[in-house]
Amino acid sequence: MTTRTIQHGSTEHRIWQVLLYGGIAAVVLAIALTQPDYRMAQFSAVAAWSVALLGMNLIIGYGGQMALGHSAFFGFGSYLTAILYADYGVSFVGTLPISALAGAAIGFLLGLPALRISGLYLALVTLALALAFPAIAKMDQLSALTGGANGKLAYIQWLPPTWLPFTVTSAAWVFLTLSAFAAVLFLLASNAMRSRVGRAVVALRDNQIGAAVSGVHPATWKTSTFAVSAAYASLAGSLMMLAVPIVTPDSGGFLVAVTLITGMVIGGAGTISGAVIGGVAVVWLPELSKHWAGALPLVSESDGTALSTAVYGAVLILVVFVMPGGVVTFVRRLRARFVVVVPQVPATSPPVAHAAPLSPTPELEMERP
Amino acid sequence: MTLLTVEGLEASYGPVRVLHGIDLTVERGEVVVLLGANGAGKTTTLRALCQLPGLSTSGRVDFDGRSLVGCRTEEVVRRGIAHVPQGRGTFPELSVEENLDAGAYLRRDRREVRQDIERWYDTFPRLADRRHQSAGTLSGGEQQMLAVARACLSRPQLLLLDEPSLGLAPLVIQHLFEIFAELNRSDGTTILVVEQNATLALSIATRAYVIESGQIVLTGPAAELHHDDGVRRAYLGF
Amino acid sequence: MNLLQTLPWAVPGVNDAFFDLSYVLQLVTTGLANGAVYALMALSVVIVYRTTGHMNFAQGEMGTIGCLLVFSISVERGVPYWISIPAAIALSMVVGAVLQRTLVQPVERRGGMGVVLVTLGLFLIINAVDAVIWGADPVTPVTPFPSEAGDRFIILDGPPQFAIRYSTIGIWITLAVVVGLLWLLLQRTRLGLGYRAVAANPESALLVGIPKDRMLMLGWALAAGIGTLAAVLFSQKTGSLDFNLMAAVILYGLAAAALGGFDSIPGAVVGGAVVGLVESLVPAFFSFIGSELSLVMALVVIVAVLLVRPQGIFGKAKVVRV
Repeated sequence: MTTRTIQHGSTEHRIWQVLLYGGIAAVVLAIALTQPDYRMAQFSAVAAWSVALLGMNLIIGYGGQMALGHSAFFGFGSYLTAILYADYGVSFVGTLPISALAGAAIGFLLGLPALRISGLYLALVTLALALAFPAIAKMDQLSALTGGANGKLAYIQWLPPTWLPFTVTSAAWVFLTLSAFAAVLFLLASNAMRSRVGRAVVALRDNQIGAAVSGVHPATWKTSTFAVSAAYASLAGSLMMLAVPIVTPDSGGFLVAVTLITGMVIGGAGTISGAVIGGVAVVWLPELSKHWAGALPLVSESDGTALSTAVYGAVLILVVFVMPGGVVTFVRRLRARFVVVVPQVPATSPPVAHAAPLSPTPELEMERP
Repeated sequence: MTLLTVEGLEASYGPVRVLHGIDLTVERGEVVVLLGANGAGKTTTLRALCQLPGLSTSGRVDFDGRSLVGCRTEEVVRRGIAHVPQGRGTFPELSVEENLDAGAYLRRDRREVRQDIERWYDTFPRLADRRHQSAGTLSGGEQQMLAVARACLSRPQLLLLDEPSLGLAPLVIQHLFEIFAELNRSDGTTILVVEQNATLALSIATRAYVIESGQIVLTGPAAELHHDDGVRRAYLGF
Repeated sequence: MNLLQTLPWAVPGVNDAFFDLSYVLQLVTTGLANGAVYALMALSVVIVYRTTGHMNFAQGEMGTIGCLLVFSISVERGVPYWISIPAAIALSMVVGAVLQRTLVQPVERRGGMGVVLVTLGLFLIINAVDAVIWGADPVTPVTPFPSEAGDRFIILDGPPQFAIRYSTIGIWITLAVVVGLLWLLLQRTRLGLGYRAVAANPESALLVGIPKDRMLMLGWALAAGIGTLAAVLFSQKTGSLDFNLMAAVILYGLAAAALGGFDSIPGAVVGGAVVGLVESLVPAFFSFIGSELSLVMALVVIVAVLLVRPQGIFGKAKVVRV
């Protein structure tokens, strides 16, 4: 069998891209028009989760920093939107820029220590942040805002507008809205990672000193990556409020952190599209595992819920062993058998013999602190 | 009698192949020197002989009549090979005495180990003075002495020395090489030494190999290599 | 009686009751009792970290399952605790060694992230398995030390009273024994020499014939055994046992280990004491800090140590001679 070579940016490549994006849009629309409401809520959650996973991919996959507690930013965004919407009358869309900016600001502040704390220590600190988040949200001093242990309710009015050429349920409209937001955020991240910005971030991950002498200022770039990644997670939390009207202290807790990590690893760290696959996994893995567990003898209904946690753990370990690059890297390797996309080479440079597929982190690597 | 036979030894770090078929033999009681430029594969050859992890190897390595390929490093040591790695490789947090004890890790004859340690203290009195000091506080020369003594405490048949002169003062180097010659003469320890300081190494060696780009390109008696002008200009740089 | 109480101190945000000797001594005792458990967890962390450079985030959960096992053997089957506890510790050690060999070693060479993910996965699996097998409701744990209300030495009669429970003294003695045995093992045996050599320079350890892989397994085994012991003591201390017993304790243990620089055994013990004292004294002193914030305090301790003195209390910046 012959492999097909497509040049990046050529007409053929453009056509394939348009077909791909068109296909995705068609699938989203088809889901919105055909799926029942309870399914729609799950698809909406996929959109929100995938934005959070994208934020984690930026810092972990591309930035190479083990920031594992993004659930805290996610929970923060949810609380912010819920409080602003329910108590201060800010419109839902109005809360989004606030959430992004506040997330970025907090991410920037937390990124400052991350300049000194790296590797395993950063993993420890960020996981501890996720563990501590529920305690902070439950604090007596904040309970007027956060609703204490019960969490915060905010039913956001989000009805389909009249100008739509087709009729959809409000749940479907929520899904379409979240998909649109997610699409914009994905395109932003994807373009940034293909540009000078992405090269700087990856260069810093692979060789900090080398990057620094090439003019990439480590402190600026690391804190900025941290800030952007936190902003994504915070925005994801805000978007989630549209799909699920309640945020509880545990929304930002350890279990959510590990769920996010699992999703990211399944999709593939350091891949943009992996975030969507991760989002799908985050939403359906518990349901599937409950289903499987229910089929086992001796396991009661309530045990199924607990077992779904175990399935997360098992999948996490399995992926590390079997597919360390996640689903996306796996699929890319598969695709590389049939189609190879080569980057466009300026006429003056010598031709590239073996163009590596664009995959910044096939394997998870980290140096000893 | 041949102690070590290496045939077609290949070794790679991940996808990068460093050795492309090394052939060499070491007779019992010999001092053999492996010469070559930086990056030629000298250190990798020694590491491959010890079957250190992280390096995938293929080819034939027979030691004392049995193959070493696929053995664990601890088994290689047990069979009688001791390796003084480049940069000494002492245990910095352990005391000098504990470093020496660790060198005799596989030996069960505690009393003889004690005697051997005392013997090494006689050889290197500076180590005796610092026996309870942690090895990380020693000078470079003292660390090299410690590394050599530690390796010899396993009572090896074959001692591998990786750049023992690197970064040391001339007097210390002189002393160390006298010790190596003495080890070979009186204990009958066979030595395979990697050196950049060719003159020095050839002065104690019986035979020499020259390695270039992961292959042996030249071999012969040490004295011959030392005096052959062409060889000296092409490979040894003096 | 109470000089401190007579002082005309009325600082806003500061708890007035803090200026009572018995009260403070009681808080210190409680802090040091919890601190001893945290010190044991920190020891587990340190023992694994020294040779492998990894943190086992599932360490607490491994202890919990060991403790639940003790509960099942002793409470449900009636086997005396002096059989069940050593048996559970021994079993934990075997399981720890096996997990290291099967799940951790294969991914180790790929870098630290893989090991972090594997231990997080183990955390989830063990936590869920505990919940499925033993249920979510707390049970009354095995109490190896006398734990009736009257089992204590009254030192200052109150009110408020200052007394030390027998079980608290038992925890301290256990910690001292564990540290003593560990010291003997590491400093006085051939096995311990091998372990320390691997910690100091893994490759050189291989080159003198020390089986490095087995030393890493030894580290995990010791850590698992100590973790189970810590869980048993902690469940006795809190008087209740469920599948989330150690979820927070592992964080305090990590904070204590951080204070000790992650590689020092005395550092882990002192770190445990400091974390325990901070946890009990800070909320008591500042009335505006609730005790539910102790997780946050652990986080603050970790961040502060890593920022200000990453080498810990006893550690010195590493000097490498070339």
